[in-house]
Amino acid sequence: MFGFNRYDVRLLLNLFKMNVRDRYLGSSLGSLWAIVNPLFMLCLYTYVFGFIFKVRLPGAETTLDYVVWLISGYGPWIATAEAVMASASSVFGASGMVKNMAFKTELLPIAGALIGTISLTVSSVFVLILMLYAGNTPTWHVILLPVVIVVQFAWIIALGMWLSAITVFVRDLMQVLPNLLTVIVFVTPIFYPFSSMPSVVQKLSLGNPFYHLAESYRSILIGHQVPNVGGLIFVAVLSAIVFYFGLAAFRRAKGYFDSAL
Amino acid sequence: MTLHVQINRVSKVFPVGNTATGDLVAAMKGASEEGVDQKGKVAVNNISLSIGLGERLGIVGRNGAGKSTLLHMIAGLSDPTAGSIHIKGKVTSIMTLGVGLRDELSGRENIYVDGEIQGKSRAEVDAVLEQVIEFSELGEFIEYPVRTYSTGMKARLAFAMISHIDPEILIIDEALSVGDASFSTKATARILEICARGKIVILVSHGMKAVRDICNRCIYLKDGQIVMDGSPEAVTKAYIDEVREADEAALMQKFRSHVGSRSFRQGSEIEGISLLSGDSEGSCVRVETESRLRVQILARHESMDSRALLRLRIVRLDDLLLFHNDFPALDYVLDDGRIGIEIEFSRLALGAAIYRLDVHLLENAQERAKRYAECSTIFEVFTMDPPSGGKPMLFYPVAGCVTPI
Repeated sequence: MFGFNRYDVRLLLNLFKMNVRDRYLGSSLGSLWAIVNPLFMLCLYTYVFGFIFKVRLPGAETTLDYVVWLISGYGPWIATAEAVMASASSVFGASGMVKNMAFKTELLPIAGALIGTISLTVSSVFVLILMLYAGNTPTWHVILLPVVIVVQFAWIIALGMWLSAITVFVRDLMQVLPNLLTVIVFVTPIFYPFSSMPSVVQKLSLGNPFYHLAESYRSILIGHQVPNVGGLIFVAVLSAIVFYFGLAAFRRAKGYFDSAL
Repeated sequence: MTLHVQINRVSKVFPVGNTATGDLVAAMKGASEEGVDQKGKVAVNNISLSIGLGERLGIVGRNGAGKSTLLHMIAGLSDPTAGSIHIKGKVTSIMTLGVGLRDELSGRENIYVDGEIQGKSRAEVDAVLEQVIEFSELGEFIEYPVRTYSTGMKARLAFAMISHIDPEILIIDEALSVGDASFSTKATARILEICARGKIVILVSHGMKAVRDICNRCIYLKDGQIVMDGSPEAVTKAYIDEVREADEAALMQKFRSHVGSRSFRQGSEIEGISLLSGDSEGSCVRVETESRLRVQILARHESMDSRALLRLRIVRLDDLLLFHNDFPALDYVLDDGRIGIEIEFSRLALGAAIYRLDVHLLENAQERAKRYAECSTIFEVFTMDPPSGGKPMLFYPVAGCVTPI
């Protein structure tokens, strides 16, 4: 598929393992940080919004409901942000390998994006525990979560194809990207509900893939309903298009990587 | 279909002076149709080459001749700007040793990481693990983090990791000298062994011995083009000769203010000075110390006077006079009336340095004699094995014997 074979799948897994290990190499807790870091952020948000601000959603009874609502959207976002950053820097960060070994470099942004699965797992477990504590038992709808996760990572990988290739030539992107991600997190209804946006912005948000992803997680976990299929299909199709052209552009550009790195 | 590498009219142009975004756009657009017309540094210029089964190809050339660029393109690390490369077979390339070494991990763990980079499964690595450790001669250090290793130990580990490949098409770029003398010998022997197993080998090296030992075909690259293709012996010899000539030309160019012939009287001129090193008949400007040197001088002097003489001086470039001798011109007159003289230094005593050889045609030996013509040239004396502890100015021929005192 897309010019990849079984041998590449094994290399992809190896690259993923290497990414996880290299990231925390030399720290005493090692790969445990991959779990501790997102957990710390989630605890912090729970504390600030649950105990200090005591924010309540319109129509919800307790602040705990708000925290569950927040984390069901923000947890996947942490994973997205991490995955996009890792994917964008993947080729540039592996310059030693790219310059000295002949292999399918297009696997690098994919392996980089998959880093996000770890923190996604952590926040999913965290939110499930909170939900049980809040008396909000998950329904059969959770079996739809993998579909959302696949669409989410397809979108991240599609972006990563472009970003990782561009970063090789224009390093400034690595400085711009964190700011851009901050803008996206506030433009997307993650900290606040979709209904609180002005109606013009609401219409614009329908074109924001990150909105559809956050909303799908919330439909499943909070609303106990099948997520907006149209929105997910929109993201999936968009991902396929961006990935298709991204992969083609990446493959054309990879021949020039060794002179730019 | 047998294994082969087929290179058709391949060129590689590195853009120069473009902006980062310009490079990006160019790269995303891919190889353009006009290709070579692009501005920039042409590293490889329209090379066609076919390498068949059983060929072990050496590539020689000076720095910047395009050897590594060509190798990178064959290895698939970069794409040609124009032309195409067809390869049948699995390519294994060894470009730089120790790229994948993780400083924080132990030597043993690094062997697994290297396997991961190569796309091997854990079982495949386990199969060769003990052999790799044994080959690296690291002993108990294999359990310590690589950051505690010396440079030589890292190189040994890195080499050991590549020493268990079973290549179809093997590409090696200057990775041959590793560690201390004994390990280096072992490594070279291993490379020879791997190359013997490799069905096609492509090797870039500055070590002419390695090329002659390993290869059975050799090409000489110059300015991105193949200027010679043939047996390793013939090509490496041609390459070395050309490099020496270029070095000599550079030497003459650098000190050209010291070189030249002048005449002060109509009919008197020193027509040429040649230096002949050893038994060779060709003129040269680099002479090994303690070897045989002959200086041939050809001069023209009309209305010969019996007192006229040729004066030979050797001056070091800092104006230190080292040799001074006069030869009566009348003694060396040729049949055609010109003066021809060969002076032999049977064992050149000068130490390594650059010297100027002055030849003067003088009226007589007196202090204020009239100078008819003069000519100067530059030569360099070198030593193959410079003695340690200082650079002697002279290698005076001496003999010692046992004497009771």
